[in-house]
Amino acid sequence: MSYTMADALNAALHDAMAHDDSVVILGEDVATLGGVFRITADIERKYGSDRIFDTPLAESGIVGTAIGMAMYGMRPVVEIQFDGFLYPAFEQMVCHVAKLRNRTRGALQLPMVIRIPYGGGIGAVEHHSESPEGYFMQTAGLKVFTPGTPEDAYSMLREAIADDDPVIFFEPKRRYYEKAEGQLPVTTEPVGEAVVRTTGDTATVVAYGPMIPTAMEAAALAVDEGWSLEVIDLRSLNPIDYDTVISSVKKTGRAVVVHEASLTLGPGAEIAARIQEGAFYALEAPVQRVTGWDTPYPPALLEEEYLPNADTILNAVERALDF
Amino acid sequence: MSISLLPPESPVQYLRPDGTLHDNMPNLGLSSDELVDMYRSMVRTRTLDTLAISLQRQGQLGVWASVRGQEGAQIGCAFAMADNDWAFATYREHGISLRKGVPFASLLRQYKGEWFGLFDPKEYGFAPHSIPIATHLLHAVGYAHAARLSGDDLVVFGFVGDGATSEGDFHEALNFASVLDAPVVFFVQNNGYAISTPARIQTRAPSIAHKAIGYGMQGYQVDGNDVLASYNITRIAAAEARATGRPSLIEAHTYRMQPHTTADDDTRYRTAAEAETWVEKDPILRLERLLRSTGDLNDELIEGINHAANEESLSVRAEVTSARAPAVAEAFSHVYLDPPGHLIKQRDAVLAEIEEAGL
Amino acid sequence: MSYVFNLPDLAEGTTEAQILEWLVAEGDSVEIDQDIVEVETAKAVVVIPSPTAGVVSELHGEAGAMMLVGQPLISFDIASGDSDEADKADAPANLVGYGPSEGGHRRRRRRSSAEPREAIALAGRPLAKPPVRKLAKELGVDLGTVAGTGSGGVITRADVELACSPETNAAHATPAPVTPTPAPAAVAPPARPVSVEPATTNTDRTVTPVTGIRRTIAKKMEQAHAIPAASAWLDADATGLMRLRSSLKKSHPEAGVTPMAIIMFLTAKALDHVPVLNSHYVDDQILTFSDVHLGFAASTDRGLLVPSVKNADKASIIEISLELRRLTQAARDGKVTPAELGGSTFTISNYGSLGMDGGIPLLNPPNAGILGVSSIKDQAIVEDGAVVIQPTVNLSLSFDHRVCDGAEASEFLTFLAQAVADPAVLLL
Repeated sequence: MSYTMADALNAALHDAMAHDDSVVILGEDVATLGGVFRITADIERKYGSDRIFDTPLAESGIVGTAIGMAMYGMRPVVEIQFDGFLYPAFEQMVCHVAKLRNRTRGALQLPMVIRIPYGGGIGAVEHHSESPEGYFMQTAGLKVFTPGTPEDAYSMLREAIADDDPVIFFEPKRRYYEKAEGQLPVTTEPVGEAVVRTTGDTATVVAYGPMIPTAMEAAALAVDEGWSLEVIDLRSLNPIDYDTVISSVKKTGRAVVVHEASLTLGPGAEIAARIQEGAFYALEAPVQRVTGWDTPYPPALLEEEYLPNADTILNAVERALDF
Repeated sequence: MSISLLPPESPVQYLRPDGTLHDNMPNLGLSSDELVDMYRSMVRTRTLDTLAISLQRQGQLGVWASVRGQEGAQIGCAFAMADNDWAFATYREHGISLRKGVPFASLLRQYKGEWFGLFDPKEYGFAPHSIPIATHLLHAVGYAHAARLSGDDLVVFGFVGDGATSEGDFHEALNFASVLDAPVVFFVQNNGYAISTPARIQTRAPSIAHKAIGYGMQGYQVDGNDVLASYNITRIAAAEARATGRPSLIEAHTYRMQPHTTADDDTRYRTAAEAETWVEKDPILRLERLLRSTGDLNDELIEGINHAANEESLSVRAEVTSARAPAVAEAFSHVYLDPPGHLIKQRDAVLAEIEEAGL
Repeated sequence: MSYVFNLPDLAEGTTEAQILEWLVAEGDSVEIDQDIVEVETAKAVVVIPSPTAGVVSELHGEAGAMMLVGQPLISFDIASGDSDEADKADAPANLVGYGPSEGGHRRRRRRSSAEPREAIALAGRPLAKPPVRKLAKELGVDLGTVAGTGSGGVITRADVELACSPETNAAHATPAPVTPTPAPAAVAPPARPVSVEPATTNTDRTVTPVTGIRRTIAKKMEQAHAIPAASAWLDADATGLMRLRSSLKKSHPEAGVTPMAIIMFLTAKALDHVPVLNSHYVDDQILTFSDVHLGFAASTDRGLLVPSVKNADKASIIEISLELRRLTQAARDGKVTPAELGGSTFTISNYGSLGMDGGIPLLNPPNAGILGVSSIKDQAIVEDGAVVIQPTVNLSLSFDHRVCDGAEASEFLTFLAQAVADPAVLLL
């Protein structure tokens, strides 16, 4: 039996709705249509329009309303239709979702999830291939999760919904139709743990979300070069399990961070700083970063050049080995 | 049908500035005690508001947004709120928060900088003050919607000023409330100014209340300095929301007698003469005139009310002046339910550094 | 009791306010919130109400004065026993710190950097910072074999340099082959011509990068040259030296005693006689040693090395000879250990073995003295008015002039010369 990441997310939502009456889903086109990616397919039919409803087209409105519902005691799961459209909701996310617990000293909490399909690689038009995870990684009070495999998609979404802290859940849209063998439900490692996807001692490759299959491909090709790569899937971007990363770098002595987001002030910058702090004496080379360019996301026909791929990852490993 | 959603041409008024009542006013069903209580609440609001301004001038608060002149609108509205109704307010709804029971000293300590929220919102049905403009209206909508879905018959009140009606979130909130049938009363105090920006350049709509029809909801206009009109119209709107889930918009016309906050210099954008014209329309004065004429108030009773308010003011002063900063460690305690490892490490490093410095 | 009220920040960031008009006077009795003064800030005119009840004791500025936020504005005498007022009197300056001048008066005390850091455990990886790793790589040193002497067991630059032995150098490094320069006794370098030549267009040349051990040596030479050294020499009668050598050759053939071995023995004795030359000059200090460890220059394929014969002052000529032979061979074979390469207190340079008649040796820092020994050959000298043939050796001493003067140098050379002429003087 097999299932796709989209199936996994859909199943997780169904199961969460069944498990807890306080879970509600809202967003644009989520109910009748089942979501533009069908992630919420069949939920209205099963749970009714009190528990899943379509909203007017207004991201700030959606997130703000969800905040009020969470204040009342519900567990809203919001869908933002595309990464490029989250920005009208940015104020609500950063000023309110992130801060309400802190500003009320814990008297109020927001156990809500904001699901956002992100990343490129689908040949899309503008604003549909963004990687805005950095903004939320640096916002205290938010948690940020991102699955890189279908199994993790199921397990981590369930965890996100159960979490009493607000979670921004970034779904790698180019991987929605990646398949996994097995059956749902599935429980993977707790979301606070980074997972070593393949072991090796030439270099540590730190990646997440859409770059997991890419990093795995690089690891497979690395064998031909006589290298063995250790791929670490962060899974959670806030908080990050640095212990796993540092242990690995202490073993390999070389680190390569991979993400689609732009280079400057991208997540790799923070990760590199932490690796340098925690594994200074182990480093044989500076931490390498394989990332998007410092440009707006390019047009579809340039996308392949822009996105990190197995070759550019291996080039980075080679640069690290040259030191 | 939709035409009736428009507000009447002039704001509703029952009580004139001179203290006399309009003949055609409806029977409000308010007892003498309740009327005196309204008066007392307005006096209390003004006294404590004046204390807050004083404390700011004495260096005890960083800043304060005065409610002076708007007591009628707020107390009237508050009297129409049920105990389990919720208020989502700005930094200026001191009359509402007092009626909801929020300890005033807690608010002042907030503006002293002790923390951002020093009371449990659930205990009073009063959300934390919203400083970003209009953003809390959406929270009000969500709260009301969740309540109705849960079979709870409460009504949620969203308070904003005239300036907020230009924000996108104002529009989105009214839209969502109407589409979802969320029982929200949007109470807009048009106090004439958004800092220095007069209301007339905030919108070209005939009135803010006229905007309601755009969302398919009822719009009301009241003389905000008439505590009785404010009370009654709010009562009607709340009853509608409670019964049908339909939200509505009330525009209360009033005037901000003090500058925007203690940091503002209003001599730069309005004249003293303008403010003077509103002194005669003062809400407390007008109710006092009425109640003196009915015998419900006299010098002695007023003296007693003032004295009680002043006593309360002194004890609030004492609490505020003795308030201190929280422990540094607390800055890390409420970011998440359980602080993650990296935050604990960071906190411990900060505390160690402070300790080493011998502070 | 007195209550001093400081001017607060009245409008989110003001730093001062001008007094427009006092509404009370010194001696006035005031109530809480009674208006006491009208001031003007950058933003507005503000009337300040009294923070306390009491009697005005002092107005800290006149009308028109500019007062600073955080500085005293007005003082009151307040009734003692009133807990509210006492509270306020005890309270720190009435500012709650919204203005830019508030706060930051504390200085965090710096931690002493001498605290040792805990050993940094690292699974199987040597502890070295990137620059040291780079140096190790250049010098061909395997960090895994180096003991770290830095805090926490970290391998330092000095540790790497110390570990830099020819053996590992040969195994790993590939510096460009270089014609080995013999003794450090560089002839005084010719005065550099002031070059006014344009950049050469002569492309027919080889480029030899100076890396690895050659670079280390070069650095050492530069260091030596910076020392204020002086030299003195004399020609000594080597008759006694040669006679003794012949004698020992017969009695101890296996020892292979060379003139140099005997000179080393005698030098150690001369240093006992003039101890100040058995010193190091380090960090404005002269460290004079009781033991004599004689370094001697050995030229090898890979460059100049200076192994040392330890405790030469306590060894016999035979022992010195054997050790000298052993070390020389080890140097040629690339098998000298770091311990054998370091620690000399005085150095001898035998350019005589290269046939030189004399030289001015360059100091081997931190040693304060170095003795250059020429070849031993028959010279025609004048003795008692007649020309005689005598085996002669030129002994040239370069010394650190910060450590001693010509007098000590002369004394040393004179003593040594006498011993070389007739070793029996040592028995006196």
